Amino acid sequence: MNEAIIQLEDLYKSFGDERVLTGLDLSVPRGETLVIMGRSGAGKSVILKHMVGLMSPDRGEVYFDGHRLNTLKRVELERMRKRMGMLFQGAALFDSMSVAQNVSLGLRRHTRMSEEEIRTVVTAKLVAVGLSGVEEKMPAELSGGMRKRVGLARAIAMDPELVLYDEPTTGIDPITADAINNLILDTRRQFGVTSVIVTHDVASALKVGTLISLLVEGRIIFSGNPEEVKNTDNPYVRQFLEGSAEGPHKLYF
Amino acid sequence: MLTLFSRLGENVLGRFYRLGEASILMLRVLGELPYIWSMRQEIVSQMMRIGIGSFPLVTVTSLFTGMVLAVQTSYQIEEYVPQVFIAAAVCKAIIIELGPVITALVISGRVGASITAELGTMRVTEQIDALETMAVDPVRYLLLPRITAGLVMMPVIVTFACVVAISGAYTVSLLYLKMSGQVFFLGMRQFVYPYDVYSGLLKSFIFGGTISMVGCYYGFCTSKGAVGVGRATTQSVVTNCLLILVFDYFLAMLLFPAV
Repeated sequence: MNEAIIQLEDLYKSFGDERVLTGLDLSVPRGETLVIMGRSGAGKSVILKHMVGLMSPDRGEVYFDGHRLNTLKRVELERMRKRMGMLFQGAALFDSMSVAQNVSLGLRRHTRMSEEEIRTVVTAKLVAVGLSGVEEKMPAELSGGMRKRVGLARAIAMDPELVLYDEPTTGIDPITADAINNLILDTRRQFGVTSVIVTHDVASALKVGTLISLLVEGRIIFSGNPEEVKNTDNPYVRQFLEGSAEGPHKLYF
Repeated sequence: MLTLFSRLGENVLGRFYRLGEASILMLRVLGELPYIWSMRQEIVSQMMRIGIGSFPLVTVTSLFTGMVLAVQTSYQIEEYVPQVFIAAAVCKAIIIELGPVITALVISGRVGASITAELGTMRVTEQIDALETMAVDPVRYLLLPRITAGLVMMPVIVTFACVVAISGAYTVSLLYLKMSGQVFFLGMRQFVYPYDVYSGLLKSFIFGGTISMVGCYYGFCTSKGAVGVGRATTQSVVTNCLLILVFDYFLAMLLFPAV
């Protein structure tokens, strides 16, 4: 297996009295697509936010390409972030900017590309996510699926080495969800990026993941490839795959 | 009783926490000053939004403030002092006090609230997080242009407001109070000093900074969804109004000390 591009060691994170991560260890090998599955509120997005340096752990370390992320200075952290892209759950497009401005923001701020070059890259990235002719539209004019696609185009605009996806298929219809799964696969094929996806969508996880981990009560309790996931006897994984209320997962109402 | 003290303590600590949080945020904005030139486009766009967009509202409020001030001053002291003093009192009051303060209160409602609501929405919809992940510092990209625009545009808006208010007072003096234009301008020329104008401008500069900083702080630190945005916007306007009045008092004490 390739060396890890991102590594989380013994991570602890609490919000008030609520303990979200309790000694989490996770490693993402370069070039792989890791899917982190877990129930809603299990702390999946919190893991992503630690990976990109939006949150600092209470205890533990986060390494990106060998650099200890949680102790880096702002300038160095920004240098690392230029090598990552993130697709947010609600796409988090900038309301006041057009689609083209959203996608090109990173290029404008961090490169010396000409307007012409920026336009070319923006169009190419939008085409890569299956969109064309939407450059001048505002985010409010787009459907949920289109917003996610624009979010993805923005995430890959700077050709990152690592793309983080926060619930890419949640809240959209199954057909658009499958189209987004294909986009994730295409992105990996076309740009060779490492991906980390958090989701509770089992079908999506099995389709796009080369590695799948299950998060339960703040720790990864199972990791394996899709075949291993399908064939495991682990009761937590089985319950999750079957979508059953009966099993070892604690239910909270 | 214990609960009461505990709540009181929590409240006081909370206020100190927010003060500390706001101070740290403003220090971060100061730290971004070397990059001000690179943000010029954003600054100009915010100046247009804060300044140009406020002119219609400021025109109406200033015009009526000036007009009512002329009527009230005349009604109160016409019997005891010559008309030239009425004109002087009206112009002086507009330039050193009512122009900056009323405009600041109006702008805090329009611009301060809008800054908080915009940044608050960006915070709760993860747009600010998205900026961070794109290695774009939100303090530099969002706060620096808004605060700079507030500081620069407020004196411009207040100057405009004073001109409109004095025009309103002049019109009422001519048409309703039967004062001659010569008397009005004589009063203004003899009793309004450059120091009054500088004081008014200094006040407006400080109010502009206050409005944009408070607006940015509450917006940037918003949490808890749409309810949080609503709460932050209300807190922003209330805090701004209070600070404007408190700062106005201390500035008056400082700029116009009793002899």
